[in-house]
Amino acid sequence: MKKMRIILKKNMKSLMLTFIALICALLVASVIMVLAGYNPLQAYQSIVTGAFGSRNAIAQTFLKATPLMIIGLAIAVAFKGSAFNIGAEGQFYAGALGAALSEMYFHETALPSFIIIFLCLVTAFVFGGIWGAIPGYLRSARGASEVVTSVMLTSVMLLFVRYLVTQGGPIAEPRGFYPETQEIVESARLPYIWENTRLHAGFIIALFVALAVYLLMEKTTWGYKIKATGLNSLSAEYGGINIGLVTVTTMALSGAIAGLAGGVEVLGTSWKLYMGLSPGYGYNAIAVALLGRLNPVGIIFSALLFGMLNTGSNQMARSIGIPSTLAAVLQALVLLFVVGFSVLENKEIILKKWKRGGNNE
Amino acid sequence: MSNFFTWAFILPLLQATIRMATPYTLAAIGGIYSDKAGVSSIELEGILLMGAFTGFATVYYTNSLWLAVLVAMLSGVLLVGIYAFMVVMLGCKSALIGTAIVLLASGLTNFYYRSIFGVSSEYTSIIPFKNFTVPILGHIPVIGKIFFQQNALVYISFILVFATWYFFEKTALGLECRSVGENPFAADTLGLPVVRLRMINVLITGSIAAIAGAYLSIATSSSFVENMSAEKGYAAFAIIILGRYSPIGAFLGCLLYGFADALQLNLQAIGINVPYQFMLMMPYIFTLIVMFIAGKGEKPEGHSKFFKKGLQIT
Repeated sequence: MKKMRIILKKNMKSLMLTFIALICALLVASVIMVLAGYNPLQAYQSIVTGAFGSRNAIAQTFLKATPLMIIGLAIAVAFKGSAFNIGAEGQFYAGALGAALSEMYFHETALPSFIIIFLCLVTAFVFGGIWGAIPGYLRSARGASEVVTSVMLTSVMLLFVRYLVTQGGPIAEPRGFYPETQEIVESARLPYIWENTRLHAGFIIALFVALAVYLLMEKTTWGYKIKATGLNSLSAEYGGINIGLVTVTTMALSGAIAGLAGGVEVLGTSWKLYMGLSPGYGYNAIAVALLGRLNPVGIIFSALLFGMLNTGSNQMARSIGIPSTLAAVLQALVLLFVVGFSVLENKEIILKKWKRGGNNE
Repeated sequence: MSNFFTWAFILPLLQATIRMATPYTLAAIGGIYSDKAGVSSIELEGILLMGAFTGFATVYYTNSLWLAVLVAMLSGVLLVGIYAFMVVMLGCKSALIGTAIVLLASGLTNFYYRSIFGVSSEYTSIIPFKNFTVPILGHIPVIGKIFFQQNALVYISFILVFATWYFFEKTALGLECRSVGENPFAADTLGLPVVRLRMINVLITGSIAAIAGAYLSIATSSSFVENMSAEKGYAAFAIIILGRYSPIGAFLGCLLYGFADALQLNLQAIGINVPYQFMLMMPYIFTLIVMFIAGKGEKPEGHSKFFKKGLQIT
């Protein structure tokens, strides 16, 4: 009972701090808007109505939250293992490419819908995993910063996809009018889950991923190894954990989950692959993961919040002309404040780590 | 193939190499100040973007290129001040704060650019820095053409390479900064103001790297494009490691990048038949190879070690 109370108290404290971090981010963003000559209250109001004002708006919010949630979980896995996967954007596109290629392969076949969908998503998972494993390998074999390598790999993947789908490119639609792939067949599309809206089964998949990540991290040895490596790689190594292997597999898993998000996006939302499939989900999801405190339940809620922010800010740009990139500013601010406050909150733990000579890379 | 090896091809290529290397050089030289003092320079990309935007906006409003460089430096210092405060004083993880800084810079510059100039496909442009020939040096055959018929910021980057080398190798203050990076606790015992030195070094990083950003929008081009730094900041981070944390080494690394960029442009110009997307990939793949070769390099001993007065390592 006493233990329960301590856990509850600790969670309340971190929830409060998260809330304060959000308020701070909103306040600073207000100043930024005032400097540009906009009315922040009007902006926030427009974001909220844009995100919840109608049935379609709500569906749109959930739709935007789906990739953010899956990628946020991907990033949480990596960050738990102290692998800073900043390249989820590239892994997302790798997955989207995997799903699109796989669908092309099954385009003419008469396989049952769920098999096609399953195979496409598996391909997406594998493609993302490969793209995530490379920075993991460079980190464990050469000690190269995974932040830099994963960012570079993102640029490479974006250019590669752009080459593939450019008008007349290798996998572009055959008429050669648009820089995108042909629309996927009906049997490969994810079913809708809410009548008369575009909300599809991807959202359910996202919730499943959250459950799977929770089970993995809390109930399996692999998850334990990831967390041990993240907390203190030196003592994990003394404890007999193969740090290099854990880093590679953690990054691969993280990339694979981000790739799955790309697959879900192609099969559920866009039905084709093109540049601009992601308006920066891979980066936004970093804020999602940290705001959710790398906890699957927390990430579900923070993804919904950012889904709302993305949907609402697009609406805001259309109705009152404030640039939608305000959402990006807000996300960066949230990131800064959340990280800052979490250091203050976990002072004792971090102090202990420093006393052991740990670094803050 | 024969036209590869004529002066008419090689001279402009080498001249372009220097021109294209300069943003990398300025960013890497800036980054060396914080790396030497033991603070990771993973936030460079964000400073570049910030400098590119504020520099461009200043020229747009005032038509003064030098004022623009100053404003860019100031904005770089302000932005990196957040990073310095959170990493050096609070002890946050530099990878996280660095990423946040990059995202913040990207969001802010896009937000203000769209607020001021609108969302149109036509770029607003300004009159950029012009090339001028340095007296005497500029008239040396070949070398003069390659090195001394460039714009003013290129010359500033040369001076900074030398000055930074001199500072860290030959001055007492430079030695103090290095010892803070090598072993902050020992430096503290010797009575050095560790936190203050680290803060100042990171702020210098911000001011120099911001010139690299401004170079992109007011020297090599005449307009600001969203996210125009195109990962040059991250490349600079890799170059510093490749150059073993030495200004001269980093400068050589930057020349390599400049050459790759220039070659890509020139090959396109003479119509080599490779899709342009693959050409654009080159610097990124190049960085991956660099990271593979250099690995984590020879970091200063105390790199990314947090220091706080009274904190004793047990």
